[in-house]
Amino acid sequence: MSNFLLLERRTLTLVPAPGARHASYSLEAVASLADVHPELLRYYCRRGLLGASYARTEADPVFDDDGLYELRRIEHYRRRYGVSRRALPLLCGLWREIGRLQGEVRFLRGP
Amino acid sequence: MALKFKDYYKTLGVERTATPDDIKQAFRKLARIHHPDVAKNKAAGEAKFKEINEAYEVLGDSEKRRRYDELGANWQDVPGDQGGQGARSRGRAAWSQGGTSFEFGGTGFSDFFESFFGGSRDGFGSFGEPAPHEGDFVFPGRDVEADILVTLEEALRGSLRKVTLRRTGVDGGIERTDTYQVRIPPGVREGQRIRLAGQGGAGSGGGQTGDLYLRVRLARHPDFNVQAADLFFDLDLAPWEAALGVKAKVPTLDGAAALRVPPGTAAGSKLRLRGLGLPREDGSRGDLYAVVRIQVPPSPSAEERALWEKLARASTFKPRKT
Repeated sequence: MSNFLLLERRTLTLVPAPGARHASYSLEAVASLADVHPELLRYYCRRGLLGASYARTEADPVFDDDGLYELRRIEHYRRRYGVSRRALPLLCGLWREIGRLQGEVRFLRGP
Repeated sequence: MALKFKDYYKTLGVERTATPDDIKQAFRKLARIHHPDVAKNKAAGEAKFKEINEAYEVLGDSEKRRRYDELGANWQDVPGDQGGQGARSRGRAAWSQGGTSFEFGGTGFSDFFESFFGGSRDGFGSFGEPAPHEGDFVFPGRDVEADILVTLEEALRGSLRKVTLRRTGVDGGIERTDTYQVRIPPGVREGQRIRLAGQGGAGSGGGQTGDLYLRVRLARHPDFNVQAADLFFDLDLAPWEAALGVKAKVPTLDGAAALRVPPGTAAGSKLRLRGLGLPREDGSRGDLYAVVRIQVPPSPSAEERALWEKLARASTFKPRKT
């Protein structure tokens, strides 16, 4: 086998519609993208695992890219490492606390 | 591509023995000169500004600085389980997933930084794990994450950024470079992720392709500190200005503004300039706070000293309770 390296150069343009702000997804859409049942996602929302900013209203939650990311991360840890549902609030709480503390340290360090 | 060592001390023009204050001062000084809004050559200024920011990200953080100092001249010999992210990439700003490696360009961070000090990639997009055996099961591709440096001006007005992602090892040795025009929406916040759907690692056994996430890191500004959508500016006042009041010029992201400092303003007071912060998600804007710092003349003249002494004799003010 030769060491010939094939080179391919492609250009993609991914630009949201003009005027669009942050991406937002419905509960069904985000459940489908993360491959979870919508009921399970509702359960996560009720347990506050995704944070208040991602599920903005209880009746009609809307998620942004961070919400989708967090959901996929939860599912990854649940499926790959067998993290139980009972342990998830602890794990999510720690992730959130770390993020908050990192933000605080960054602010206190100043420019 | 070989990884190039970055001498962050040289970038900031400080000695290796510099104190945190020296580093902060050097950063502020250089950032004011090379800030894209004031630099004569905008493109060169922007590149330099990002370099300075990267250096300050490392040297301005005691833990990162310690790790950087430990790397030293033998930085290429860092073993696989040390040196943070550098471990995985070993001389590349890349990491691998199932034989595929990823390298980013245009994010504002160098390969060296990404390798050793890049953001946490220990989430579900972890790249150090063994890839599942293809064909055994259906596995979705991993999500790929990189940091993107965003200036406050970009966070205010939004921007279009060109980001490149070079993958090697795709489909048996093919190297592929994709270029993305990424829209940074106005109001992005620190740590926020921007998703590029289906641009992550390839799935196996017919699994879905992962996503590419760009995590926003707000560039340090020489004047402003950021907390959510609010900006904070240190306003230095002379003691008599704080006591008598003054009209001070304050920089904002929208240009200079005049701020009336009321008489009797104490150190630490926060004076608010409403709506001059960063955009919020609802379209409104945060506030700019001028935080008062009182500066005392370091070496008063004989006349100044006489006047201070006269004031000390005349004043009945007691700053301490006991």
